[in-house]
Amino acid sequence: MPLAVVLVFLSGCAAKNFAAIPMTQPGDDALSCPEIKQQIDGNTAQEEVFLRKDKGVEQENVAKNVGGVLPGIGLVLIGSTNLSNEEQVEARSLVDRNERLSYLSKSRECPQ
Amino acid sequence: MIGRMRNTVGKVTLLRSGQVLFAIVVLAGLSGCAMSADPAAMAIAPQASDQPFPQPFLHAMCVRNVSGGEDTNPLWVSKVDDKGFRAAMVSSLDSAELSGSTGGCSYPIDINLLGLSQPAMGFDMTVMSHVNYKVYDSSGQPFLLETIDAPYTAKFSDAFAGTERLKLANEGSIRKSIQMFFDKLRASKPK
Repeated sequence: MPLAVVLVFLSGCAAKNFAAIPMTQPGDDALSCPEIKQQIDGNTAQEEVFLRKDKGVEQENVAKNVGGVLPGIGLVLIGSTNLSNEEQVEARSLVDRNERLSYLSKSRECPQ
Repeated sequence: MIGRMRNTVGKVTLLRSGQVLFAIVVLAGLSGCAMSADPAAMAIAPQASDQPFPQPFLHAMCVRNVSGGEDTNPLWVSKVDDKGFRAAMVSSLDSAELSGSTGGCSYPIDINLLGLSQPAMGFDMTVMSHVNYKVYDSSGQPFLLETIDAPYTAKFSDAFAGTERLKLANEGSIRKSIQMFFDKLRASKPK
């Protein structure tokens, strides 16, 4: 019985499947200066949201691992640790995406 | 009466030893100090390919910056650090005859490890690495910008200890990422 519970439990601990935001995207060459600026501003705002969420996940993970020593629910707490790093990956990929957009803006001599 | 008591005590002992054994197996699967990914295991070996690298890349590339990696805390989980990723990439470039001689680097590469998506635990462990590769040309302009998400699964049969299995999955994922980046290089058209 406990083995069955652990088997079911472990099978649910897989990392979340997601893709990073690509640096280059279809249609980049056709972006106008205002569109580039709009995207950069949107990405910057989104990046801050992801960074805040990432900090929250980190704090939750620390709490779960401290709780990991508790008999009975310790294993469940450790198993529910979120190591997907989704928020960190998305935040970092937005920084690189903005670097690409800034390059496009500069090469088109867009007004700052 | 005494016989019945003995029976009960025997059953309890058997149950307890079963539980202890079960706990030992689970803990052994989970325990062990985490170790950083091995650069040699992340590098790709020379290989024959139908599509060769474009001529201008040969002996003309180098790794300039590597960022985003994390040091491994032995009490936590295995990670990939910048130094290890750099060593793996340099070794892979060497194997593919892409490394430029000192001062002869026309195509510098910047690598940003955005992160590793890892499972908390499990039997077969799949890690997905997310990496940005930026190749610049000799004039300093970005030539190739690739975002690569590469999954790799380390099977339960590959390693019994969970920490070791996660390390193998990290290494396999980076190896696959470098392989996918090389495929993009092969398909590109440098001036």
